Amino acid sequence: MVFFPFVWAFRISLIPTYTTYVSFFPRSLSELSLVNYKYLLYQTKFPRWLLNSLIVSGTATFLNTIACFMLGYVLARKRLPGSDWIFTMVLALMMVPYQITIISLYLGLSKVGLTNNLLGLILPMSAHPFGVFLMRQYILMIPKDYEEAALIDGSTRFQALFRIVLPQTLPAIGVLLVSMLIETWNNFILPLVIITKTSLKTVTVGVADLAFEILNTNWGVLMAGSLLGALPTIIIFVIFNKYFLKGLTLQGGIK
Amino acid sequence: MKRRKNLMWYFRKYKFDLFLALPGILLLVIFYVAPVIAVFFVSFTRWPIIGAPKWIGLKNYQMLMSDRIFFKSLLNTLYYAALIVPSLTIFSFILALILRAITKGREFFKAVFVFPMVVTLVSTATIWKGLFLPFGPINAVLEFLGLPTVQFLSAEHVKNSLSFILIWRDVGYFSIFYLAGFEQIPTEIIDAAKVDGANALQRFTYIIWPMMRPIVVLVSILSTIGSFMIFTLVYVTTRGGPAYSSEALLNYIYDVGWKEFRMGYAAAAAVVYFVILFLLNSFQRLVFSRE
Amino acid sequence: MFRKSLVLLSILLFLLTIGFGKTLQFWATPFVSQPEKFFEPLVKQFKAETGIDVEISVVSYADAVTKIQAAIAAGEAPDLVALSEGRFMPLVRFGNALYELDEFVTDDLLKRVVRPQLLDQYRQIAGGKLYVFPICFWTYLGAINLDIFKKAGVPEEFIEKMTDPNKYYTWDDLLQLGAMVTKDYNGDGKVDHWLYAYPGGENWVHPFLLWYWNAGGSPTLLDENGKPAFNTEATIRALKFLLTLKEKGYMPPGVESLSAGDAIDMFTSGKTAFINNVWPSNAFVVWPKQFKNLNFRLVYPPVGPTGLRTTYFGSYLLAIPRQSKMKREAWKFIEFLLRPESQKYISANTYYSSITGDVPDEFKGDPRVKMYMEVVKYAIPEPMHPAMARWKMIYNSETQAVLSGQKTPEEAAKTMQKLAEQALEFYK
Repeated sequence: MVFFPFVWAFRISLIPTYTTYVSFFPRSLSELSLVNYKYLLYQTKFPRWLLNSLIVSGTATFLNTIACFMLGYVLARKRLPGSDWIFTMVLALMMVPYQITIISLYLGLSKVGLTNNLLGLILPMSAHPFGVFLMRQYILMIPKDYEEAALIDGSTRFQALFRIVLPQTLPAIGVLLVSMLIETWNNFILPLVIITKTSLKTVTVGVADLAFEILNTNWGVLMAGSLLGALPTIIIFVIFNKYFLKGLTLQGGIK
Repeated sequence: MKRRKNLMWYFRKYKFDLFLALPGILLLVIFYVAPVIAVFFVSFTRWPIIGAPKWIGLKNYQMLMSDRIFFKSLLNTLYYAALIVPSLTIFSFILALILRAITKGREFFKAVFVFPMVVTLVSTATIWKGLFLPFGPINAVLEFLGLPTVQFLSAEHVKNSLSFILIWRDVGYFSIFYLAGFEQIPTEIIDAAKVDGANALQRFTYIIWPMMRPIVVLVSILSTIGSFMIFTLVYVTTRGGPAYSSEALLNYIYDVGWKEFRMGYAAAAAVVYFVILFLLNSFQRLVFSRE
Repeated sequence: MFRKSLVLLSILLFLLTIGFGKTLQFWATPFVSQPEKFFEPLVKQFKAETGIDVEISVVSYADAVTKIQAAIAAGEAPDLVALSEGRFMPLVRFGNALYELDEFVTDDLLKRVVRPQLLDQYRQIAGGKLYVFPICFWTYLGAINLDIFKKAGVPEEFIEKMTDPNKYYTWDDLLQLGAMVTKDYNGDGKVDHWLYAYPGGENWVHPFLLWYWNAGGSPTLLDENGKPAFNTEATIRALKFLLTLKEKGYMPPGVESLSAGDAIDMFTSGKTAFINNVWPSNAFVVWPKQFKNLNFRLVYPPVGPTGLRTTYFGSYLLAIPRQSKMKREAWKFIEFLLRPESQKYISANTYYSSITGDVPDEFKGDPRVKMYMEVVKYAIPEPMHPAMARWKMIYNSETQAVLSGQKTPEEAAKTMQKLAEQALEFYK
């Protein structure tokens, strides 16, 4: 039930076809071929799109983790006056989709020349309200005592943060990393609006382009593209599986 | 003199925290808060992307009130929410119960069910679109079994089909939340209840349900936000068709702003969207916390 | 350390994205698959002659205008864009984004153009100035599936009515055809073939227009007073006809939600017997190559209830954004594309017709090419009104309502009219 759609997509991707009216079981093995995959890899900019997605997701996730961790810590410990107000704002921002911010975001980015530029994709995704929410909630659950003890012992705030709080937050960071990786990889609207040069597109927009490019949908290529485009996130998921699930579990216990 | 001393004192005291918090706050303000405020102002203008916005006051909102397509997309989005939120909340709960009953290989099954969430939405949507085609595989199977075929992407069914995709995708993800909640219920309480003679239903009503309530709230809020944020799903499968039956509010905002060059109008619709979502959210919190 | 790596990263990324040298930025819509490859020889020769490089970015039809407008707003307009009739007016009306080509166009060039009235039409809608120049064009023909026709026992004379330029067939003929063709052929209780799949679900411009025009509708979608012409006889006739086809079962199930691609799919996979929007690349290249089992024949458009034969005319229009700093060079490229050799190359590789009438030698004897050229005399270009984007939404939505039985044709026409007039408020 879970895998059936993907199995079917794989089946379709193995034959050159413009329709989906294809029998599920191939008549003979010779019908199958990797022609769609070859087309994708050699004749479109697909590899470049993969690279772009990797760069964008990787960088954005990295920046995100750092920013959210730090801000989450500050909010959890209420170190700044007004921390609660900031947190309420973060909660509200969680409901704001990119489709709305893109309206003014696009103009702003263009004024500084960041359109058609991977950096213009990375920066808006570098701090996600959800990440801040996650970090704060999790750090709240970590008792303050350890840090205070360390401070009394004479370590700096900085050291306390990194040597004591950070290791304890690792599960949540794991979740954040994987979630943000998936979220930034999947992001569709930002590259759709900000990037026009084919060579700079990300995988999500690229695959959608394949669907609408020619007026006859090449389902074979489309399915191949969809599967390949999802592959990196699947790989990450498989590798960090335990982290992710453990983190979700904890997240469930948070609210 | 005193004022200046206060400010400097503040800086020095909070130097470390400011340093920590600043990147996050800056990024959030620049990329979230500022655009939202800007959108609010843009909603009072007429702005065809090129050139400066021109102030027209409440005209956009007036036009919005008589815009049939806007209301259709609004109703569509509410329909999506009404269908998806209860389904997700309930089905993932059930799935969690099932998973809880599985002792061997639970981790494997957890991973399997979370899997759809991980795959890029664009890919998933494209694949499901292929499955739902009038002469596509699902109908082929139905025909083979002698059942009547269903036009999944027709005006009557398209919203249900798209909702199904989202439910299929998210149910595993949310079941993990519930599962975590289950694991937090101390077994002693359950055992004690069993000893006291409570049957399964009583155990459920008096122990499990109250402890799970916060998670139910969380899941329903997250799924509400999720169903309001439907965009890519519609964009990739039907582009809002047939004739707006599947158009979600965000899709309409995008279409009006970017395809018809009416950014001011789109901004007004966006403000309405946000207000509605915010009200719904607050309403949910209120209802659940009062109970 | 964190900040330093960020700076380094941004420098790296910036380097990855800037370009060097004198290059024309050309945004092309995919009027042929893989436009970059298609333009390669032309670009190479152009560079050899002028030293100017042309970088091609492909923008899909659906997003073309959005992207162009957004780029112009961002100050990043390309030097050359590809548009169509229905797409260039918003750019002219909102933001005056295109540059007037009148100063570049020479009388010699005008003389070579096959359909000069076209240029006048472009001028007329745009306040007298010329903002776009066509480099090739195409018309739509219809097609029939000969295998289905044979199975259904359609008589030869009927087929002749559809393929002989001196004969004609009407909407009543199509209804007759529907009755002949829509049957259960193999006795399993299910209908195996239908007549026609109208893509009711998709937001394409032309499916509705083809029938509306054939029913006598206004080519510009405006009446003599300049008001939208939706609540007219033509609309009602067209909608009634489509509804009849649907009600009699001559359209396959699920037609209201078919995308245009899916409707074409229905024909190419042999489910429907008739289609009315075949463009040249499909007829010459795509279908013969990908659907080897499809035994099809090109047919002329029918004669509508008012005695008119009509079809759709599309062209590949090039325009120069006002922001471009290489306007002369951009025009040079356009001129280059209008040379006889370039035109012949374009025509031979896209199967579209040359705007200057330079037919490649391999086509000269081809009867199909003749058919496409025959219908040019009554082919209507896409309406160019700035409100087309919204109007398209409106008429497609109402047509779909009729097809799914929610409204009568008369009601739909009234609604179309009302909404179209409402939309005008914004596009004045």
